[in-house]
Amino acid sequence: MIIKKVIPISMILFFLIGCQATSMEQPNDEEPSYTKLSTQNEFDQQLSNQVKEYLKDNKDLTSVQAVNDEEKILITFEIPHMKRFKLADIRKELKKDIKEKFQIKKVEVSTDQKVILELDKLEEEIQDKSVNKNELKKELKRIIKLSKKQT
Amino acid sequence: MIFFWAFVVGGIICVIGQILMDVFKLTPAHTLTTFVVFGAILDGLGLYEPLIDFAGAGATVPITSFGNSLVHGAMAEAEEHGLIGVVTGMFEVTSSGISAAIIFGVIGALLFKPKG
Amino acid sequence: MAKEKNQRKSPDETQYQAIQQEKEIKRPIIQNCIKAFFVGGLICLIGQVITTFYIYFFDFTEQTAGNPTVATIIFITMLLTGFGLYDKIGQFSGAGSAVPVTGFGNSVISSAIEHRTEGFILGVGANMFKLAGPVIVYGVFAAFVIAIIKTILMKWMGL
Repeated sequence: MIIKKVIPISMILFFLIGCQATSMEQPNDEEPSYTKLSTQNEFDQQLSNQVKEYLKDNKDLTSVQAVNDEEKILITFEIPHMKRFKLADIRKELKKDIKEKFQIKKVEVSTDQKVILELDKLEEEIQDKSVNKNELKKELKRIIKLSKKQT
Repeated sequence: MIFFWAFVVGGIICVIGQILMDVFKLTPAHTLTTFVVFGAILDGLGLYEPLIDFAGAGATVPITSFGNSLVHGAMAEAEEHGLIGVVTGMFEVTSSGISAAIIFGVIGALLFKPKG
Repeated sequence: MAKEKNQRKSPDETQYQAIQQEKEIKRPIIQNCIKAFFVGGLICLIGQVITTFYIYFFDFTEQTAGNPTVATIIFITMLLTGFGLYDKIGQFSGAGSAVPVTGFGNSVISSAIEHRTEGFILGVGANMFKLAGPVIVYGVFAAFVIAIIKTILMKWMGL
């Protein structure tokens, strides 16, 4: 009877340990992917570019998006799946880091899939120059609001 | 990737439920109650959110997430209004599961006839 | 009455219990666990697909997509329960279909349908949460206790 109790539990344990082991075998040494936005725009994305350039060295990230207007910046990023357990901590640290490094007052950081999608779209629009200053500001505000929604 | 881990983590949680039912001879009602309480405790310790980040629906679909979101709603409200918020904020996040069950329960009773 | 009965067991009864214990079907635990794993995993996978669908095609974030996902899954459960399919899945998979919210939904919906003959107020309304009630009651109470402890620790102990 005891054996019957032990087997399923040990099966689960093996399974979990197995997963852990495979994750350690694949270190991620690729740089995060990002798009460098043109600075010859109606709206200067210099700051976003600097942030991306800075985050390029961060091996934890697989991709980075960032858009700013004159007072705030929204940064989104993705990390390797096995590190997602620590996602909240990484997010917090990155926010603090950027705030200190670049002396920006309003830094918003998100890792939400939806926010990444929306910000990606906004980056593309900036690249295509299909948004003007006001639209960008409005859109950025909307995305930040979306990222803070709880229910 | 998230799909794979949703499958695996969701599956493991169900296996734990199966072990509770088969090895410790709990009834389904006892198992589910244990799970909800356990989910609430895990969220109290701050361990359930990382699991959701990791496994997505693998952590939100099992009934443990019910305990998690009860604590979450209560804590969010408590931050704003203090201790009374614990009582008032309880269903802030959870309501959808219960209201959906009630609504579709009544609709089901209207549509279907009991079998046998 | 019941207590007395238990205390005074006739020889026949003890014999019966011995035979019953002997003949009791041993539950195939490992097989059940594998079934639970795959069915439970599949339900969560479906949930993830629905969540992703809401994120990509509607204005939901990862945070907010949980609610419509649960509602959608419970709607599907209603159809499966109504056509009597959920019971069959449940017999096959055990905890695999009981632990996800679909199991919660199924217990509410099936008791609603079952007690329909007793009228909508005293039948459907009163019996709906017969099985799911304890889950809500102890979930809420446990959450209350934990949230109180956590709030006190955070606010007054400064943790």
